[in-house]
Amino acid sequence: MYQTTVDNIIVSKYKDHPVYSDLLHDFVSGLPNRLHDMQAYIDEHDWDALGKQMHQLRGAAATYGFPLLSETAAQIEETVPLIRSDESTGDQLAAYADNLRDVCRRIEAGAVTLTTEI
Amino acid sequence: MSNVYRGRLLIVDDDRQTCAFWKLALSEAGFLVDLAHNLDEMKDYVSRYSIDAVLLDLNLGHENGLDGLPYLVSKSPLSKVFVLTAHASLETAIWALQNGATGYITKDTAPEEIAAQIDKHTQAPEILPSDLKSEEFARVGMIGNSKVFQELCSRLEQLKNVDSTILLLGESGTGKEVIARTLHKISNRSTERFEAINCAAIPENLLESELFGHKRGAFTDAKVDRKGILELCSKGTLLFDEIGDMPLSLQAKLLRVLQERVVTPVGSATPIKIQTRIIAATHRDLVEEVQNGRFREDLFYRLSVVPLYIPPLRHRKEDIPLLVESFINEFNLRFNRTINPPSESLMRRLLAYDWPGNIRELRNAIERAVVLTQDDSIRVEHLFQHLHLPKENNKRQAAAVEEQKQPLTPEPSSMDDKIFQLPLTEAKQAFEKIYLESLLNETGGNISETSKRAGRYRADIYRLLERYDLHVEQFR
Repeated sequence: MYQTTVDNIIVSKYKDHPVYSDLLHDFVSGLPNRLHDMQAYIDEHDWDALGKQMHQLRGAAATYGFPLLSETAAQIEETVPLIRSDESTGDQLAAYADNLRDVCRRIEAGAVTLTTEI
Repeated sequence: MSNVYRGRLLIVDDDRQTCAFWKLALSEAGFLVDLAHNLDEMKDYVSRYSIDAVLLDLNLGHENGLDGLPYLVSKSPLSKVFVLTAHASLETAIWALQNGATGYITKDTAPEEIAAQIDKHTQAPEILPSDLKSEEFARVGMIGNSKVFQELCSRLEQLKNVDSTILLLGESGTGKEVIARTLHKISNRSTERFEAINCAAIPENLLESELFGHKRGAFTDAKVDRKGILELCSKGTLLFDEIGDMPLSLQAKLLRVLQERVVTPVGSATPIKIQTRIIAATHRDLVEEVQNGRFREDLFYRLSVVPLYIPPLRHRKEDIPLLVESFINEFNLRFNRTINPPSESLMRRLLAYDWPGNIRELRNAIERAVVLTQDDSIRVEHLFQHLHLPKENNKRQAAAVEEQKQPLTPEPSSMDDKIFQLPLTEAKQAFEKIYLESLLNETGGNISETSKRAGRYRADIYRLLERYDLHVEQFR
């Protein structure tokens, strides 16, 4: 089991490894910045930068034990090449971006829960 | 943290948070982990250290990680390369494996599984001294059957368990690092750590900390205590490659280490006892360096307790057919080719040439020929494409090549058209080499002046000379 979802919160599969706790905290704390950059790339239609950013997030999320975040970033990464040729995929991209924000919120909530438990 | 040392890793990934995780996780598992965020940084590490395994990310932002694979395979053939990516693509995995990668790892793999996979490929079975046959030497990268080669193997057998400092002398490309590794692998220290440090490639200000370690707060970036390589290799073997390029200030400190067998980390007053077996290697004439005041005489005598001369390839030409066969087999496997052994006339050409770049030059020539040939035969124009002729001291080779009426690599000035036909990485390397040659020509081979004009450290220039098989003497 790689992921635990309790009341919709998401925690890393490495949550029980104290050695990673600082790094996990840094990763989760950095999510708002990643989301801010994502929105800026979408607003500017900078699809290259968005694709690269989502690829990085896909890999980093997998590394840090957040497979759902990784999959959601992958959905956006894979939509980026389509949007160049078909502007109508913009709605799909917006939905995936909302989904990513939601996943990030649940991860942040999971981090708060863990901190409270400690 | 694991007490068992499992090897030195280089992780190449552009995402710093991903790197931080792998560094922590794999350090905990017992690896010494270095990080690079792009291909240039990767090349710097590979030139400086002997790395057991590289975890190479496929997507490095603006670069494709796979572009670094040929470099790793060619410049660090002893490193195992694992392609690291967010998602598994079968097509890419097959390409990577066919082009020299050892394995393919997705980023959701647990660190302990990655560590086990690396171990599986890097922990060679122990070689028992009594089993030492020519095949065993071949397995650790030493290939030959000439009398000169047999004598060298006998000397290695004789020295394998001698703890005295050994000085490996020989031209560039003769395989000094392979010899040092062999000495370690056949010794009674074989289960302990082997490290190689390139004294020419590490900036002076970093070298001291690398060797002796440092205490937290010893300098601005010293945020934690760090053990030096001498201490980490205390029961193993440490190769000081290009010892002739070690700065004089550090030579004095190394002399103290060799005399007293203790190291004192930077910022500490407490010496630490070590039992490290030291092997040093250089292509320079150390006697001349001593006479010119560039190398300490006392250190020279301390290092050369047991000097071991590694013969150039031209003195063991009988080994060329065996080496060629071995390299063709290796590259057939790596590039999924079925290249035939060279024809008799081509072998005569290979034997007629003096190979000033030694085994490295021969290996690179075979690799190039295997890659470039369109069918199953290698041809002379591919093998000798790299030669920059004619030079005064190369007239004989120039004549031999001219005799074949084969096209040569264009001189730098005529490279302009061809450079645009090359992949970006190769084009950058081609330019770098031409640029360096041009500066060295202008400065008459003066390294200080060259480094000043290039805006790089002297050590960087030496590293580039090594990378491109250039010799300053050619420009003087």
